[in-house]
Amino acid sequence: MSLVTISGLLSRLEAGETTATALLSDLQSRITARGTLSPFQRLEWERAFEQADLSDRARRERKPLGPLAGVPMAHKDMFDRKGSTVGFGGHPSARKTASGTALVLERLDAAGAVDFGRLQMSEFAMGPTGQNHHYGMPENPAVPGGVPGGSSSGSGVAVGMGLVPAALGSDTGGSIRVPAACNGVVGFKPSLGLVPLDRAMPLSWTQDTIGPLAASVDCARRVLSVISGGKTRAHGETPRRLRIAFDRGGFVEGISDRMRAALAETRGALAGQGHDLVSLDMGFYADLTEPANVIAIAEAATVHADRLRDCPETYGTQVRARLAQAAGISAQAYLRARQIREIAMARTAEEIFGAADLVILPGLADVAPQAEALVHAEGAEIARMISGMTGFTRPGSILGLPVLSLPVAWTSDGPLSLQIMGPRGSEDLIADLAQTLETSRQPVDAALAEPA
Amino acid sequence: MEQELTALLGRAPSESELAIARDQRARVEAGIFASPLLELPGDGPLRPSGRCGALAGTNPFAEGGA
Repeated sequence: MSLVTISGLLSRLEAGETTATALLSDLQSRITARGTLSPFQRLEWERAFEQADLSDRARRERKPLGPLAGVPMAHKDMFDRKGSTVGFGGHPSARKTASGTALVLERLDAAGAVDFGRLQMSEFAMGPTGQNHHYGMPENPAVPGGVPGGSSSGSGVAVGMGLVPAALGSDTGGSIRVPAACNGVVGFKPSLGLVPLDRAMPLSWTQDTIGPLAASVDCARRVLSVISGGKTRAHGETPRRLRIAFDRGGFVEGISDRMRAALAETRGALAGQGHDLVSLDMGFYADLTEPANVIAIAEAATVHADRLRDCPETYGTQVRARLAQAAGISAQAYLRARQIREIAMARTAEEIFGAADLVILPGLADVAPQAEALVHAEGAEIARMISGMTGFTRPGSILGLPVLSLPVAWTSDGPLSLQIMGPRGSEDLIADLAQTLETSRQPVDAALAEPA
Repeated sequence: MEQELTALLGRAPSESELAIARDQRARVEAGIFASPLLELPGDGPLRPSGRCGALAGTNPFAEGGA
């Protein structure tokens, strides 16, 4: 399936081959013809056509245009827009009409993007499978029967279906990178604090970030540049010779043979580009899963405290189970988890980024897991499965580091994605390197048959 | 545990919810309080003058005791 890209759309708009209004009309027809709202939660055509018309008029009158002028986008259902409904993936009783607009949406508006709707998400952004108790699960276009990943499930699916070139998501424990990996698209979680969280739904203030899921690295960095207020570069540069680290094995134990082979392929590609490969012991990252979870759950339970006490039955089974975990987390445990975070940050700065410019890790252990196994899990089993899906994304979250999820190989069962992680503020370098590793979306099972 | 859950949920917890909280407490013991990352300075990367120095102060009884 070919994906729609921002540069492709802008070329057509600039050449006069289409208009923002025509792009939106085409989308409306395609979405209506599908006969299902999924992966969307809400479509807001009226306002979108107004935005598109303004963009077309500005283009006709040769007025200055923003970098995303006329590009249609939809976003995870957790960002306020004044006068519009925001639902957070929750029970209908959790919906509200926003009294203001999220700063990230204001920045996208100013850049000329056309916002036409809200996308499905895990309930309150809790859950890496993409399953939502109230609204079900959008279908993964890249892995038949596979979970779409969450919590930015609809964002990953809409990009993977070729409906939009990019969609905003949020990432607290892997919620951009997991659905990106499941659907074979790019996901870019920025450094903690780079993108403002104003009027976006909170989950865990120590780890919450907002970023794009996108059809390509170029699409992702264009959007990130806008929502970060220009703090990152929109366009790529050839990366200098880099020191790129891989784990010696302790942290990435348990990955599939084909993921191991994909890592080996990537090592070969990077060496071929002249980069220096560094083998480091990242075993201590395995010890960050529980601290990251403890911080996330304790803070999420605080965010939800009043609502959970008032109407616990409006929460889905899995989310209520995760929030119930908070009863097993003492104040000392939370503070200890924060201390572990500080220690891991110091060790990462010294042991990892003292020896390497960037790190490459798996995104998932393999392709997206099948939905059947996850949907029927209950109780403590859910917590274990969730930990399993986010084991490789948690370090980037708790450490507050920028990480880009990139599909690097397509098997007949679906895409395999790696993460490129760097020190705080290294978004440009990460994206520059990622652009050199983008591959065709063709199955390559034969090449990945032999584990490294 | 039951009291904490009742406060959290605004009602008495189910057996399943109690099991989840107990499981989490066990995971906290193993993954937080027994975390190898919390070992005190000496052989590890922690330095009393570093940003993690405050951690050493959380256990004033680690050395020099009678």
